[in-house]
Amino acid sequence: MAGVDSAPATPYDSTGKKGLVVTGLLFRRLRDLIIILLVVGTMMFFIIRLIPGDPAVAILGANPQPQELANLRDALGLDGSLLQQYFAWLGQVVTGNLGQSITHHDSVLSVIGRHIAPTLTLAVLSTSISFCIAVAITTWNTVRPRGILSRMVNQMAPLGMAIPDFWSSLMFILIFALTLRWLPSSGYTNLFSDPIGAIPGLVLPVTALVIGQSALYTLVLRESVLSELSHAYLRTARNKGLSESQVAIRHVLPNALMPILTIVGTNFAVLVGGIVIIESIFVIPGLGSLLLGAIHTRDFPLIQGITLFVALLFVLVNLIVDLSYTLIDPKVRVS
Amino acid sequence: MLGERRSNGVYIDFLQMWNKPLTVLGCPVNMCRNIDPLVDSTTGARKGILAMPLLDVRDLTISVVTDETETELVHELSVDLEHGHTLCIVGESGSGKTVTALSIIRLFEFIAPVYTDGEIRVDGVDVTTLTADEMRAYRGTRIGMIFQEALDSLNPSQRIGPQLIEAYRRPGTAPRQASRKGTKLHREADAKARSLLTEVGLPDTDHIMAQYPHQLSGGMQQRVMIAMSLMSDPDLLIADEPTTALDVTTQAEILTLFRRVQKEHQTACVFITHDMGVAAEIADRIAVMYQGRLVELGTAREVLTAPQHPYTRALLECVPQLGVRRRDGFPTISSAMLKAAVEGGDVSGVSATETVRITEPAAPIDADADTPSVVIDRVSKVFGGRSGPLARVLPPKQEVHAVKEVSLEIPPGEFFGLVGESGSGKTTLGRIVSALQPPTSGAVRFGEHRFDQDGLHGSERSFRQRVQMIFQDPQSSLDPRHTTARIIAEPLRELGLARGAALRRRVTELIDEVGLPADCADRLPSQLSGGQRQRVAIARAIAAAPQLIVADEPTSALDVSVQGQVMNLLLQLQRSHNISFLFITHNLSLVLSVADRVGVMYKGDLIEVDSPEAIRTSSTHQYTQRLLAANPDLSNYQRRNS
Repeated sequence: MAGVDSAPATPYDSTGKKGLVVTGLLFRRLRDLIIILLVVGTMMFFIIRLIPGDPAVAILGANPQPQELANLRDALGLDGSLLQQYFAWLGQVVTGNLGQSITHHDSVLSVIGRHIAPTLTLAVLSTSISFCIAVAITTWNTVRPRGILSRMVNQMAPLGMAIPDFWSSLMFILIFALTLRWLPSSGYTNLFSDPIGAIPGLVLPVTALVIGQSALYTLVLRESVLSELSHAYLRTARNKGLSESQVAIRHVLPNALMPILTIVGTNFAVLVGGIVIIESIFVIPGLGSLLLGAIHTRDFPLIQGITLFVALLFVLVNLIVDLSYTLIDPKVRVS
Repeated sequence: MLGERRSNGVYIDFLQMWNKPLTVLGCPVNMCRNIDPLVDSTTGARKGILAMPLLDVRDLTISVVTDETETELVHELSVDLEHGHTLCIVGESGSGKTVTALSIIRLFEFIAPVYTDGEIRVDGVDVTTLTADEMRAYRGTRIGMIFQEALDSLNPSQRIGPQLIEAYRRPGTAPRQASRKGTKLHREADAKARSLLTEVGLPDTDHIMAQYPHQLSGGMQQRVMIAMSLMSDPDLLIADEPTTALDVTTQAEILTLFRRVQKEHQTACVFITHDMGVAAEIADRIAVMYQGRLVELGTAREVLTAPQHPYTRALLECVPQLGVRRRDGFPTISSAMLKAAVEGGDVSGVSATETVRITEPAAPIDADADTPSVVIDRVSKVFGGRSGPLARVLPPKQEVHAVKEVSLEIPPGEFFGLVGESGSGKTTLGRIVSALQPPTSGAVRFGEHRFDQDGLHGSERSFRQRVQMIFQDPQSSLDPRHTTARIIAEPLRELGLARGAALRRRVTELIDEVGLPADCADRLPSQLSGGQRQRVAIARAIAAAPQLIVADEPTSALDVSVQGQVMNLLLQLQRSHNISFLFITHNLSLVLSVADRVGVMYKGDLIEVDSPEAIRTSSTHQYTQRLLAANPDLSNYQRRNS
């Protein structure tokens, strides 16, 4: 069995190496970002034009005058062939100009800027709360693997993932807003301008998002803990005379927590999809509501702008996840 | 029956114990060191000093219960160990040696629901009667442990320093108390860690303590483990195959270190190994186990030079030895012997080993004119480095020269042994010869086939039919969902050599030829033993009637007696089919005893090619001499001591 690797290890943990890893990572991610944005943007461009109707029809309403329609289309840049429109749009996007929103009479970027805060608040709050819940539950389960809570969680977590968030939202509104009248069923206050006043409006939407996410993270962590339990370093830790809770907290969890970051990153796209629904149910003026409105009014530039923006966010979140591995995982850090 | 036994449950509710003072037999655990060793702690009677070994295992029976059936892993084992001495427990896989070691320290109960019968006394205290909490205190302060997989035994996400310090415990302190920074205990632990690291040969302590385990080499990891096991000054060290995963030269260093450290700290040691050669290097006393039973116990000298039990004799005979040629077959342990060892009956009349005579084929193989030699022509392989359009833009990657300009010719029918340590490039060379990985420069020629950096020239099918490979680990190199018959049939079908009834007939022939029972055909790899699995891999390799077999460590995952059987099979096939072998191994004794010629690889260079005899007796190359000196070999011991 001498085949097991005993190759000479890296002699020194130089910061130069770490910089190298990060440079390579940034380079690859930048490349990915360009490809993803191009593909997403192109697909959206053609898909939304497959939907019957266009912004001119939407603005003029039913039975417009043909001459009026032609003029408006001309003004909106919808008169050329599909390919002409595509390349015109592409040329704009490359220079960083996402165009003018047709319905909001403003640039797409500033419209997005006005609606970004509620969406990010929901996303960041629900992700971090889910993460904390999952870590707390897993810590407890690792320390008390046969406890009642552990068994309950093992049964409940798949259920939590199976409940659709729109259903739980509607149930929350029915119970807590309409019947018990504890919390408002809609409305949004900026968390930063009025932290106390914002909380009641956030409780129900955030909880609806947290159920599925925390269940997912708990299940992933559970698998991760189980695979760590087979490692011999736990035998070493026990041999040092550590108690089971010390073994769990000091040795199992730090190693088991690493994979969950990847899930947080990849789950981000799913999360944004969920937020679109939640925002319209709770009437929160975020990107989701904005996107839904834009689709109704066939506001092509705005739809494209939001999609590109979300794609950008997705790539950035995953970049942050990868970069954080270089901080927390010693193997990524220096190898 | 089960009710009478002590069950050492794993999931003991330790949280309740948090605030409870720890006691063993009425006295606080941290006082255990002060228990008068002359007083029997259960009866209070004074004992003679000689009657008090440090470790005293009496009638130990260990069983596990799975799905309501009880399996006995160790049966009525009795051994003892004096202060400062080393007891080697030697046995093949399944002998119960690791189970015994883990049970002494009561870590086995974390792996399986286990029932123990009998006593394990450490310094007079029967550890089987301690509660989980008391045992925890005992483990941390009295017993150190070293395992085979040093890398896996260290926490991958913690630096070495904190891991060492965590193991420091003075009597009377809680676990991890020394980890609290800024305390006196922490400073003490830090100083202790540094002195131990220096002692185990890692004097650059600042650097080592700031490293993560994966940044150290295998030998350094094992040194760290040894230092860690000594952090709390244990009386008893348990080492479970601590050198098995290491190269022979590293193994020799670690064994020397181990002996020195043990002597200086006056620590008693239970050393588990499957290797009689290692036992010869380190043991004061040797216990030989087979299938959970102790078959022989005696001083190292008695067991190694004048073994009483036929099983021990058989085991010793099976170990390949320098200077003993085994071209005509290795001895293997006879099945009558194995049966007798388990039943514990009269073994005096049973012959211990069987020797297969490898016979020449009845009709001499006509020296096939079209069987070519394998010609390896200045082959190099470089890993890493950058290529492609961005090679100039991005910073350069480190290049590893795995194989450097190796040239070699293997004539038809030759058994060529390639020996080297990990990282020597022997496996890479094997993969290049079998056209699984292209070389960076140079070429391998085999008849009309040529394999160079552009890939394989000529028909791939006909090349695969002529060159086959056998891998080290039959467990992972066989598809777990395919039956034996399907695995063996696959190359025949894919290479278009047989189909239908002819294919089935050929598969049956092959199963028979490699010595597998006929009913193996429908079994999955998981239902076979390690030796049987390797036979399946061999049958698959010879199915297409190849002219060259590249065998990469085919026996290193096997027990020594099974290794003999597999080697016999390979030798028999070589004779009967005139197959050439490129036999890659780290086991010098093995390759010198069977090969026609031997090549030694070191850091990518083929430094020496010669006959086994010349390598053994008159090698001038420094590295070869170092390998020979490090090789744990029984014949040296027997010559020294008989």
